[in-house]
Amino acid sequence: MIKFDKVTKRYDDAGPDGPLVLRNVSFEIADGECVSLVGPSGCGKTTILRIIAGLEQPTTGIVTKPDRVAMVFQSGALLPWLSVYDNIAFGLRAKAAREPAAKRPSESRIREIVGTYAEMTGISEFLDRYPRDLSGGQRQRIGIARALAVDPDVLLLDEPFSALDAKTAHDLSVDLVKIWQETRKTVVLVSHSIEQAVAITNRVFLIKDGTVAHEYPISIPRPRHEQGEAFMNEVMNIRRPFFSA
Amino acid sequence: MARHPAGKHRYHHHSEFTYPTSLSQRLSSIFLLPLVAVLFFGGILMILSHTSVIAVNSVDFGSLSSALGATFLRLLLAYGLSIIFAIPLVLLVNISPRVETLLLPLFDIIESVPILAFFPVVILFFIAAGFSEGAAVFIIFISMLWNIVFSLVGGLKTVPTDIKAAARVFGVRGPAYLFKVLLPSVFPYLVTGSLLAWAQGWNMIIVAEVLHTYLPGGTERQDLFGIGSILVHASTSENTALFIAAISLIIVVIALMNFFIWQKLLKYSERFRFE
Repeated sequence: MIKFDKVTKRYDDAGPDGPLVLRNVSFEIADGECVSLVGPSGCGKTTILRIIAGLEQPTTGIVTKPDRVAMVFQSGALLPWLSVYDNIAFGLRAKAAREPAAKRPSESRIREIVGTYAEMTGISEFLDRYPRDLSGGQRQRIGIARALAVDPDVLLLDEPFSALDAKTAHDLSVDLVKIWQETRKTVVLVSHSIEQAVAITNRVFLIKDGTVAHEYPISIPRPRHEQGEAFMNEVMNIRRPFFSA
Repeated sequence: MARHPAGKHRYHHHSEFTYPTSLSQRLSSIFLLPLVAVLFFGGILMILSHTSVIAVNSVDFGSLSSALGATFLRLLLAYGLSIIFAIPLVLLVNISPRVETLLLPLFDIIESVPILAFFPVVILFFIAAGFSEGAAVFIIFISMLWNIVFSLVGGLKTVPTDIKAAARVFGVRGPAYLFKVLLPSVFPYLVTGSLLAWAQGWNMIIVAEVLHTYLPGGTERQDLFGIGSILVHASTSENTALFIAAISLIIVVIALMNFFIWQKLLKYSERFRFE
């Protein structure tokens, strides 16, 4: 479970009188849930994600979260000198190095895990290639496979579709839902697109001015058709407060 | 690891992966190699430097090649030392923004002080220690060092914050972070810094080998045997043929290095660059 209890955040370099980027944020996400944080730029949604990832500490408040958290980055954050295979194995090898020698997975086990998630994300045929040889969508799939390979309890996705064209983003979002349904990991997606949030997740948190402004359970049955009436109604329902002052 | 879905993939990766596990193994790959090279080539240099520069009066390819070899070894030793010293200095800068604010201006000042102004003192120090060869290597080393340091510092600033965050999220810390993320990230900058360092080194060889001009009552016998001192010797004795032969040899070596080493390294380093 992920639980934020009256969390505030002020960046150290802003000084003690600097603005709060998060104000009194409280929410709970159950294990295996697929949720999203949407909101305008600078609203604090990525800061929430970074706190869950352990990249930032809250200024005040209590955060409860599992230890095993993995993240997919907006830019992909792939290492250009490593092949796709080695990029997927990057976190796995680091995790293996921290384990006692007796428990450390063998190279063949690592190969097996990398192969499993490469297949799940649809990049099996590119394992010997390098990130620069691949498209933006394929790179994001490598990032997802790298995150899944460490077998996390929580998968965080920071605007994974923002640099992709509409078709690629749609295909990836469809596959992301399949991956969630197959793995049942807790998924927290940050997006500025209400449509993507409604298409992928089961609960949408609208973040405004550093706090959770609204929370929307999405109960449309899957597969969700973006042209369907129920889908459009949900999107409009969120859009109104999203754009209001 | 048991929680992963059953592996039913059909992919077979053929590469062999060798990831050193101990810190000493990792350190050896970057520090021990230059250190061994420094000691090995230093030994050869000692043998070569017993020849006197004034014995070379004609265009003798053997003597010129030996002199070029001696000079090249001095450059190689200085370069090895530059790498050994530059990496810890750069890592020190990378500790925190506060340390960087403190150290960078300090490096800038040290770099800006004309090292040749101190050369006579350096020569006297090494001659007193019975190791005049050290004076040349030291002066070339100092002239190379800052090119590499500032290139690497610039390189560290290009590492995307998402890459640093990814390393943290996936628990890549300490030596693993250094060797698997930071050093590969700055590799293109190490190559460009090295290129500039060698160019600077070639510039310094004449000054570094002609020691007698800095010593009271010094003679050419005190000069170090090398292609730089031969150039000066040929010039002062108006031996045009020897001068042209020596300078041609330097140009050929620099061109060969550029073609066979730097161009290839520059091309190879492109794969380490972030988009």
